[in-house]
Amino acid sequence: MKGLIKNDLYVFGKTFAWVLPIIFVCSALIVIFSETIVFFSETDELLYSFPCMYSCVILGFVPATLYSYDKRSGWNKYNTVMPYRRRDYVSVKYLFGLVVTFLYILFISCVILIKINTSDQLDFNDYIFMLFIMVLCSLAPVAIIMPISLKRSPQAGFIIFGIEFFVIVFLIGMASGFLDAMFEENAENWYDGSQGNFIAFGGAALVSVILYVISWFRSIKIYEKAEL
Amino acid sequence: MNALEVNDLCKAYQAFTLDNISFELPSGCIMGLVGENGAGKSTTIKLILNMIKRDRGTVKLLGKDNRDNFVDIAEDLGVVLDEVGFAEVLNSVQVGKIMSKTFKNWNQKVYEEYLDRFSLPRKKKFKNYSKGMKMKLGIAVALSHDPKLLVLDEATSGLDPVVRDDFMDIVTEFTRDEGHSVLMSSHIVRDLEKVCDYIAFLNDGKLLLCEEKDRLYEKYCVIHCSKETFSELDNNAFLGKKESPYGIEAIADRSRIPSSFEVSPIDIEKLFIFMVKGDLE
Repeated sequence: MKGLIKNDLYVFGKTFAWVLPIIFVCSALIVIFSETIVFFSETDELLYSFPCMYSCVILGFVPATLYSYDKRSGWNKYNTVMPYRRRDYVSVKYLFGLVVTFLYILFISCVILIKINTSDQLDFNDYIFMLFIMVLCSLAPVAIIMPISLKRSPQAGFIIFGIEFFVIVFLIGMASGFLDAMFEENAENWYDGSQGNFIAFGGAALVSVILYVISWFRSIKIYEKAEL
Repeated sequence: MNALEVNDLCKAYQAFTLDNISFELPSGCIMGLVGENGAGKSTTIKLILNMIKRDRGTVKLLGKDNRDNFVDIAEDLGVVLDEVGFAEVLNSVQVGKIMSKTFKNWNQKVYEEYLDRFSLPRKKKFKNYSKGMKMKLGIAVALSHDPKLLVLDEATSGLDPVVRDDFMDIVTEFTRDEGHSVLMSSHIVRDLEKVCDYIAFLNDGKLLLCEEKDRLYEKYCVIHCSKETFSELDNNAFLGKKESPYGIEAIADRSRIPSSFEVSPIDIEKLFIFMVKGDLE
């Protein structure tokens, strides 16, 4: 398994080398200079949290992108004649996705928490809310794209994710709107008034974690049956 | 002990069926798999390497079923497929580092000796390699972890004649150790004829023959004669014939041809072409 990880590290390092610093630095700068990271703020500050979400989605593409590179080079076939199990190959991709996501969320969390402690512009509730969104946006792409990539092709995975992403956003929007209406009357702060958002995004983040685990096992099954 | 045992191996696709393939490769020997494009060579090799699922039959690699503990078996396998699948961004040094984490018996010194022998650059990216260089790197990797069985699928394609000759020497050297065996497929039958102990002919998913090379030389011969003379001979003696304005050239079973008849030795390429295309009607 170490060889598979090393291979992915090399490929990741070469192909994402210029993307990662941009994502990390831009996200940090945006958080530092933002006054709020509330997604559904009624002010113009909506865009400040969007780059973090967008970065998470891009990082969520990493496992399928690595697989598409392997497919193009033939490494996905070649490693099957080496002392690796197919489940190891799939698991390395999922682990890689988790590590990249974890590092990003950890980094952004540090930036946000420092800002919370050094200014009164952000609130801890902002951070929790942002955490839900980041978990959702980084795990959902992997959970949806990987099984389809392994069964059909990475291109099919990306296309289907693109379609499903709008469905997910629509469903979460519907749920948060419905829940918001229930809590709105007793609202004192924005997050009191956005309890619906909290529940909807918290629930969606939890579902994305569950989906990630299911997708992992499903991908292993698919790949073990695949004829390469 | 046999390095490879294939019994009643079957695999059906919509347009192609690999039908009841059976053969054995004794340890210390080299077997050449000969066949036209689409004859089933790569399918057979993929089934042997457990890359695709067989419909029926058994495959034993180094005494173990290839579906059980393939990870253990793979430690003793050196494989070069028709396309060497390393990531395009890697160079030969990075490939060596990955392989050192892959194989327990990886020998970095041997790997670097092969890199030097094949004049492979250390820092050049794999995507900038020529097809021949890619094959050489695949061969270097396949030979650097002390494998017991080498499986080569069209490994010599893309190599220039000098390197091909060098490679055939490496294969011969490899089997000096009686515990080492080689299964190789190639379109270049002359290369196989030079080094192989056993020859297997595949045509349209069927195994036409699998014999010791020397036995084939003993058993079959080539005759050149007129149509009239040909018609006087036992028709069952022939595997195939070719007619031309100058007469008939045919491959025959030596034991069925009168000893007084002038015959010439066969070569494997001719035997294969006559068996596949030779018209006996």
